[in-house]
This record gives sequence, C-alpha cells and structure tokens, in this order.
Amino acid sequence: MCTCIYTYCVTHEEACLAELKEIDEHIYSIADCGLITVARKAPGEDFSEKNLPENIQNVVWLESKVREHHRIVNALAGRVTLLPFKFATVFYSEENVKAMLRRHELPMKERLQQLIGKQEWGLKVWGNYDEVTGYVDASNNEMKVLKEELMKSSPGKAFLLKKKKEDLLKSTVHSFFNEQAQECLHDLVPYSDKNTLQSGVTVGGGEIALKAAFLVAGNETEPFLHEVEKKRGTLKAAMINLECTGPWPPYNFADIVKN
Amino acid sequence: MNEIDASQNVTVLELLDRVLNKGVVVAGDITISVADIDLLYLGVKLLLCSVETMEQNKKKVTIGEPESA
Repeated sequence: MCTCIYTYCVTHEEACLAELKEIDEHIYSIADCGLITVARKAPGEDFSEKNLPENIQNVVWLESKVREHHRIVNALAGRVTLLPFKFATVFYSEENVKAMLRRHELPMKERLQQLIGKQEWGLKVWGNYDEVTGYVDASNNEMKVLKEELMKSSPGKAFLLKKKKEDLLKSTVHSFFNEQAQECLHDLVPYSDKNTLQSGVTVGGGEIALKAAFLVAGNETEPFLHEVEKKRGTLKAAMINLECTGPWPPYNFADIVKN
Repeated sequence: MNEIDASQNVTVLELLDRVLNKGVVVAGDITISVADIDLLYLGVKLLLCSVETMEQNKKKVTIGEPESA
C-alpha cells in the first residue's frame, strides 16, 4: 500500500530543524518559499483515501492519532512560531506539499508574523446547572415576587403560576449565565491580542457552559492569568466556575482563510 | 475494542475541540470533509460525555455504598 505524507504544522523559523529528531525520530521538514512544513511518512493503511473514513470511526485509533498530532505540534510550539494544520491534512508527495506552501505563501507568512511571541489560552466558564438554577431562584427579584404570589394563590392559580415560574427560571438562568460569562470575557479582552468564542452557552450533561480562547502575548501572560484568578473569585459566589487551560499552540488563531 | 480511557476525558475533549475542529485548513490530497468531521466530532463528544457520566455514576454508587462487613 502507498505511503502518505502527514503534515503537522508550518513555520517560517529554521531554528527547529536541528531539533526535529529530538522530538520524534520520524518527523522531517519539507521547505519551499521560506516556509517549512513538519511532516511524517504515514502508512496508507492509516490515512489513505479508502481507509481514513473508516479509521476515524474508531475512537481508539482517533484518540491516539489526535494525541500524536498534538504531541508534535505542542513540542514544536515551545520552540518556534507555527500554524498547526487541521487534523489529517495528508499529501501523496513532497511536491504536492511544496505546491501547497507556494499557494498559501503570503497569508501564511502574514499570520505567522502576527503570532510571534503569543500563546493561546483556553477558558471554560461553567456551572452545575442545578446549582446555578438554585442560585438564580434564590437571588432573582422576579422570582421572589412570583414565589410570594404563589404562596397567596388559590390552588388553580398556583398551578399556572408555578408553570410560569418554571419557564421564567429556565430563561433567566440562561441569560444570567450568559451575562456573567460575557462580562468575564469582556474583562479579559484588554490582556489579549485576539479572542474567539469556541462555543456559546450550551446546556448538557448537567452543565451550563461557554468556551472561549484568547491569544495572549508573552509579557501579558501574568496579568492575564492574574485577572483570570480575580474573575474566578467573583464568579464563585454565583456558583460559576472558571477553568483556564494552556498555553496551547495557536489552534484557534491559525486559520488563514478567516483571518 | 472501541473504548476511551475515561480518566483522560477532559484532555481528550479539549484536544478534540482544537485538533479536529481548528487549525489551518488547506486542501490536502486526502482530507476529511467538513461534514464528516462535524459528525465525527459530535459522535465522539457524545460518547465521551456518556463515558464520563457513567464514571461519575460509578463513583456516586461507590461513595454511597455502605462499607461491607
């Protein structure tokens, strides 16, 4: 079966070339027009057009390949500025990789310049749905009014009011959480170069959550993380948690089409 | 076998969010179509979430169980 070329990332810094074998003995570079792609020869049984759609259905295979992809990209990101490729960007020949580099030369170089000295940080604002609901139910004024009204109502009216209260509570929890999360993101913006919402408010698995990513310059990292800690304390009172992960390679800020 | 180590779920989800969904998109000779990857991503996430819930339930049961004599 044929061998394919699996590509991990592209950089414009040659500094990493000498260290590639330290990261993984199988990776190597393919260069053209001042851009360097870090790649590996991959067996066709993994990534051929025929086998790939089947393989990605196997979560064990997928997990190992995703981890492998991240291991290489992450190790390189600690050494040079790079743009990670989306998972499973595979070529048949080195010439095709070079042609791709030539095709995207300018936007790739421009994006790389913008990313020099910056790192991605992930932020997950989340709460246990029942706990946040409990907090809103106890602290929201409209809820208080409805509860008082409920106490004084006849059984028939109380039934309708209870339904109204449940509906209102649901939408209030959503808007309350969104406001809190947005305020948190807003306060972190001054410490970052760019930011992006990975997902808006979602409810599932007993959680209400919102995810964002920030691109932070090296000298802003400490103030950024300090502000995160401050926000963590503020949000805790409203039963909302803040999870910060990173530094990540700039997965969320690498796309040359959108930017 | 088609199982994922539940202890590493958070990391896997964080990784999937980035490695599968983000990064530079260029036309390789072989690529997974956007529709495929979206479906795949959702499928894996659902699977991981259900594994996670299962693990949490297991823990709850263990915590709630009286100590055996």
